[in-house]
Amino acid sequence: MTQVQHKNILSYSGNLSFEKINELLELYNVEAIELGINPVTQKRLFSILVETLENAYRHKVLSIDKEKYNKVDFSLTYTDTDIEVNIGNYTVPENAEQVSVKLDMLNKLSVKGISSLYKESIAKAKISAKGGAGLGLIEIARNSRQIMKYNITSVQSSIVYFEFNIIISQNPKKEK
Amino acid sequence: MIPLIIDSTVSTPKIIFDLKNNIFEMSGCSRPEDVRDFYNPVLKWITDLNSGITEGVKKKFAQDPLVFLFRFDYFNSSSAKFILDILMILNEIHKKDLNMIVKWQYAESDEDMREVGEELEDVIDFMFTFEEI
Repeated sequence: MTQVQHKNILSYSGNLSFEKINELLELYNVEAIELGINPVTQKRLFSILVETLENAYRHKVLSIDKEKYNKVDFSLTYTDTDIEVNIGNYTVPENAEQVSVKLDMLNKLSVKGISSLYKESIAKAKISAKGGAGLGLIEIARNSRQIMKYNITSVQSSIVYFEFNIIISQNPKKEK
Repeated sequence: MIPLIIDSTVSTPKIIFDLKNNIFEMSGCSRPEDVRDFYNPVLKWITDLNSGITEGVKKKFAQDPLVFLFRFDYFNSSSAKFILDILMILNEIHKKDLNMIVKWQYAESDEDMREVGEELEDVIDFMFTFEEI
């Protein structure tokens, strides 16, 4: 079996701050132009990066061993056909559970279904204490248009490691 | 009303709300670090505009409509919520029979930005004018 070769675009392992997110997005913009990623994919990927990085930043563990558990592992790679975002962060089990339920639901929807859900959700959305509107995963789903994978590993009773894998096609089609 | 003018940054949009000169524009990129801090004064300005719609204001725009322009390159999901809130207030202003147009501009080939505009248009039930630039 031939293994698909992943080439690195961007990677980061460490604490996330708003400034670090800005820096990563800036680097992405430069790399995306250099690699000649088509403009539609480029914009969709930018949106995926903003939402995934902001989610990881907002839902980091604040109370226990900050140095260790505020760390985020992020990578952006590409193959001949796809671009892949991988992000892993520590969070509380309840948050990981909520995200996984939402991802399972979103993975079953078509592009039209996601659009309907977006309209329904934005009308009811409220900004949380952490500054999110609860629309980030919908935004990621509609930009990726592919199955979103995740993995949850228990670290200790109040902390899990959440790994999120998002793939976007280099040549996007109109419908899922 | 005193105009509201906010310069753009790498993560916040340019905002010009100027009733006297009929310039209402939100443009650029929106992903503020604190979305509430950024959008609350914007919402307050639009709310005040809504409260101040008088016959005189309606007369001012009777010939040339008030043009509210959205020209975003990108906005994140939490900004989307505030943009919808602004549109909801514009909807109320429109219902007061003020001659008004909401113009949704998007970059050439950025069909996704047009689609988001159409989704927001559906939610508020108010017709936009779409323009590719």
